[in-house]
Amino acid sequence: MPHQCLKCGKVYEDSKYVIDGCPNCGGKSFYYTKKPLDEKKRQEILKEIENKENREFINIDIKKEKIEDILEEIRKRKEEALREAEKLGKKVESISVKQVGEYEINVKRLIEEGTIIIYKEGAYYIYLPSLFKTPKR
Amino acid sequence: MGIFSKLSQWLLSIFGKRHVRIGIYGPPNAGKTTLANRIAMDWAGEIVGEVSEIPHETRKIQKKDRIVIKDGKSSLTIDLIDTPGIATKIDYHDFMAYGLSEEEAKKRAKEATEGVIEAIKWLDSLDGVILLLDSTKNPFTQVNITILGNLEARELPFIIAANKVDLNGSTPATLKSAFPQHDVVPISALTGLNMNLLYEAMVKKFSKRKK
Repeated sequence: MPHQCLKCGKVYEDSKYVIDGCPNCGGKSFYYTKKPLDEKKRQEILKEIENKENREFINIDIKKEKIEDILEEIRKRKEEALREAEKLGKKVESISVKQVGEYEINVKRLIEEGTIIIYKEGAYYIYLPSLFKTPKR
Repeated sequence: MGIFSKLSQWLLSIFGKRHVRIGIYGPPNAGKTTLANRIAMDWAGEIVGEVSEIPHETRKIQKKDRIVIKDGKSSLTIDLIDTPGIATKIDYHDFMAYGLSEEEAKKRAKEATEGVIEAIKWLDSLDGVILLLDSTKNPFTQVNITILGNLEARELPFIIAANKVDLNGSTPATLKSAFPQHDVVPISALTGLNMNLLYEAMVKKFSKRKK
């Protein structure tokens, strides 16, 4: 099935352009369709993709004008994230089961100590071999 | 190593006087603190820590230094380490059954879990271990087997003490046959029964230098 470049509307049979980009206009977004779309429809889809990307990747929503204020805001948010990590670091469990399918991983404890302690519904499950180090010979 | 320390070590090896750090390990409620208190009372006239029927009463390492144990002409100076019980599951609901509030029970569960980590870390700085097991309970548990296997792998000298022989359901013989290759001393830390046998075994076992 052909791919249509959403930017310029050119249709390609070869799917390699999907990876390389449109040779005509350099567009990176393609639509997989039998029936080529008109420009209005293509613009709609492009806008939709753009919005989605913004939502997913750019969540630093800083509404400040001066560069100093922006930097200050970034510093504050970094501190906040560090505090969150610190709070998790104080927990004894390395994995917490919030509910089936929802887990909180204490990466700090797992990486630094390698202890496997699972917390679920008020009970700590301790995997003893992860605590007993292999003795030095 | 200087000549003096070599000489003093040689003398110590002959007269069996050594200063060693001994840890009491075992599952929760095996009677570790009761035993630590018994040893400290017998030889130093002081207790090491509080005991309770609620499991995980000891949640931090407790230490009593320089206890001199004598057996005939030999003696042994020990720093005694009482450790939190080692468990594979610590559930706050279990503590609530003893009348603790939810908040207290949850705090206890967290501290007890930290205690397990601390107890195991301490193995690195010990010269010997008393593995205290409850002779009224099944010896083949994950906790007992894991500790035992690790002590063997570390080549750390240890004695198995089968505690609570004063109780009706006690079967120290089961413990002896469960671990035939190890010294098993049946005792009652609470009543003091057979403590002389344990002291004898301790002086014998822990006076030897590690290879």
